[in-house]
Amino acid sequence: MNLMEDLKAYVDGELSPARRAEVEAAMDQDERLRQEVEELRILSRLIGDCVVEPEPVGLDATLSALEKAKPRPLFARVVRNPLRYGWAFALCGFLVLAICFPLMREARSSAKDVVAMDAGTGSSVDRSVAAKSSAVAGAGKSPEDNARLRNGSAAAPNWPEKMYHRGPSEAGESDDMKVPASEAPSGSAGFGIQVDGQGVDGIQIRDKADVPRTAPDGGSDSYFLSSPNIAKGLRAPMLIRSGDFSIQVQKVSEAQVQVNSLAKRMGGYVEQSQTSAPLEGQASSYLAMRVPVQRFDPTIIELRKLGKVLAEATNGQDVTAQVVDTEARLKAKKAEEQGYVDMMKSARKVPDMLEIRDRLGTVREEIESMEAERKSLREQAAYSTIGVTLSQPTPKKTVVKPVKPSWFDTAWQGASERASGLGRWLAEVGMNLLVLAPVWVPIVVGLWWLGRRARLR
Amino acid sequence: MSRGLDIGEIARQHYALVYRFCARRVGVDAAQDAAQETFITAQRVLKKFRGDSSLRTWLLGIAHNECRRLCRTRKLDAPCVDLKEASDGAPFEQMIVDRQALSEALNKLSPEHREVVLLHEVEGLSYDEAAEILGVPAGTVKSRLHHAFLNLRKSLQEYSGGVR
Repeated sequence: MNLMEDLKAYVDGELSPARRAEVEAAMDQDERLRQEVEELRILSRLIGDCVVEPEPVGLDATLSALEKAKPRPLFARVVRNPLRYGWAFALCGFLVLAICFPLMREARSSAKDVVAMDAGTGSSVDRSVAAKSSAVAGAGKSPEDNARLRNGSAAAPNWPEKMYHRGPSEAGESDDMKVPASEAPSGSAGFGIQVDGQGVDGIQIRDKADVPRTAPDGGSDSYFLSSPNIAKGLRAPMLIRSGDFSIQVQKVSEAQVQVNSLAKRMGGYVEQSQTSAPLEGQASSYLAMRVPVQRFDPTIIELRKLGKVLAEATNGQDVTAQVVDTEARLKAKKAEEQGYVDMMKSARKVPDMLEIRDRLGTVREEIESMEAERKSLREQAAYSTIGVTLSQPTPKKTVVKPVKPSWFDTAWQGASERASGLGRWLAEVGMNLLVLAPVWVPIVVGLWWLGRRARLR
Repeated sequence: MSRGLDIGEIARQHYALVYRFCARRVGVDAAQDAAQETFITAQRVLKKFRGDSSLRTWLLGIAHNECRRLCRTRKLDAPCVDLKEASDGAPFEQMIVDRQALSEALNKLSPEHREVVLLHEVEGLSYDEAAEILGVPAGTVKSRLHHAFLNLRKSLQEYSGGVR
């Protein structure tokens, strides 16, 4: 290290002890160094002593200025200088309004939409079902009935429009299953149903005095109800009962399993099953179950527990008259057959015998046909068919109602759009400046540096 | 650290120091403004003063920046360094150095060299304090001071044949 460069620091006492010792050792050996140090010391003292120390002025003015510039609370500063801070507050307020007002308006309109939807009766499908039910049920339906039916939706295709079933909680006479006396077959008029002394919903319970006490001939005991009050001599109507249900469930696959289980538990089976799971939309499934007719109503009650019943319909076709008629004709034909058999026994001539045999064959064919028909009707009446359509709930669509904007909304929207445009423009400018920074930053820095050099000179 | 410090009291204690510091850099005419701005700035940033350096150094640092700003905005040139008149019975060294020569030698120094000479020799600041005010390492101050004195002696020798 150059010893000469440290001489000034030595004079000023700014050297480390080690370096100071080195310098002193060198000075002891070199007269020229001692002379240099002495000259530096003299010059340093001269400068310190000779430089003029100007008399300070302006302390009072400075203290006064300090008092004026004393930091005050924000509120006091705003009051003292509103123009300085007013624009900042205005900008903040504008930003707050720009953010909050659209949100509030959106929330308000959403609330209105929800109220409007609640006030209405639901989707168009619901209304169509309600209209259908009104048309089917007729003017005799009470408003409560129509309201109940409107709660359903998504009616199944090929929905039977003959009659709609009423809920289990409703008491009294049911119009749904009531068959007008004028339309009822003569053989079935006056039949009633009572299971274990309890009325079954949806089926009219008639006065027992109107019920004929004689059972039709040829009727099977299996078609008589088990109730002790009506079992004797009273033939149950032979009804081919069917039903259709549209049920909204949380999960279609689980509900399918439940329906299968229910069918087995009731002594029936699932005859048909169709499942659709589209890529977009909700999965749905249709099952056709067959259950014994005696278990028809308990099955319906169990089905209602699967989920939200959107629509339901039951249909009953009374084939009692048809069966009775068939059996009567069968009885007549059997009597005719017996007559032919007796004639055959007493016939003596061959042509007579051939003629009787032909007649006997024809009668027997007719008897077999009638027996087959009767058997078919009995089988149909023995098992009821219930169609179940399972579906999952679909998300509600928000209905945005056009709202006529007020002058304030229009002005606000215009101002918001202009502010948004300004923001976009500023963002574009900022992005351009950022991207082009390698070009303009060196130029600006160079110009600033040149200007600074010029000022310093 | 800044708790309990009253800017009014600080101003009363250090105003003379700051005023003289400013006067040597921007001239007497602008010194009052520079000193006032120094204390107003100090009042504004007093909460940030952590006591890492002495209050005097901190104030002179602010004053240094204010002087530079004032020179830039008002386009001021660095004032000449004025020396006191020699009095009767002056010391020997004052007799052998022509004051006019010394004044010219000081004014011929570059701004950087003159700055360190004023800070150390006139204001009496150490190398570290001068380095903090100027924002340069202490080694730079030492080097600048060495070269400043070389130039001073050279100028004086040229003017009057040397101190010797």
